[in-house]
Amino acid sequence: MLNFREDATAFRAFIEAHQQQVYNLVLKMVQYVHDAEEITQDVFVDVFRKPDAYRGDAAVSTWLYRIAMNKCIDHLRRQQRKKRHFLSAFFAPGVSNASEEPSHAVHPGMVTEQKEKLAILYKALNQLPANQHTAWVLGELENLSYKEISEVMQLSVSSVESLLFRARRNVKKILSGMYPGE
Amino acid sequence: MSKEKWIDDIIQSGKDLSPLPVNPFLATRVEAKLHALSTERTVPVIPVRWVFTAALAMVILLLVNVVLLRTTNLSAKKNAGIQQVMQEYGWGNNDIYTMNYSK
Repeated sequence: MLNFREDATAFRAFIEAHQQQVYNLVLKMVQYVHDAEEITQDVFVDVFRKPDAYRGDAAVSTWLYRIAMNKCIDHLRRQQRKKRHFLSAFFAPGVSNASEEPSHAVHPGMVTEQKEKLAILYKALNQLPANQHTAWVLGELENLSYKEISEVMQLSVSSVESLLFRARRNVKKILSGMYPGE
Repeated sequence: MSKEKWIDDIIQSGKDLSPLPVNPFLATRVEAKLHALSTERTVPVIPVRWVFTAALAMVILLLVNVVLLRTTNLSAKKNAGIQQVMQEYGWGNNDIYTMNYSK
């Protein structure tokens, strides 16, 4: 049981032990440093406030990944809703191109010449359904095994396999539509 | 560059991300957030329906007032000429037996 209400030092040690892992995962999902910091803080706030949510059936890191991914998905949905409302209110009522908006943020941990490629990849990833996006980040960017992904996403291994298969196929399809040579 | 090579390059770019250091004050910020949440006062929320009803009632009241003011002024203006003539000729006086020669 993780209960830090009585022990502030243990909580701080817990944060320091897991912050790197959570922050980098979140950054891969949301791309913006500021948003990633906010979400990482919220993950640990949840850990402190709802310690009973951890049932001990999986590794702590898996549980943290799960909280982080849920928060990222909520955040991305909010962002898309915001963009959609803004666009529909001011430019074209009833028409939304939120998912096709260019990605202005590029993960800061990338060397300059690769930034452009990464921006294109993120633009493609943002067009995937949330569960495929999550599976892609966990499988392709975090290099988790199918079993680990299934624990984080609370799905069966076969569902994860099919989700990743569809995500790969869709990313290739989206990217092939973005190929500049055509 | 062929299309397949370009797509593979793009996909590969995501795998070359180096981990970033976390803000050194993250733990402090989490503690501050928790403190803020624990001391946060819960503001009683008034249902939107009640706010809407109250606003609507006030608007209706205001409109009724404006309409009444306008109609009162109009009828006063309409009768103003007649009142003046009646006053000048003393027709407003119901006392028919007393002659008023003072005018």
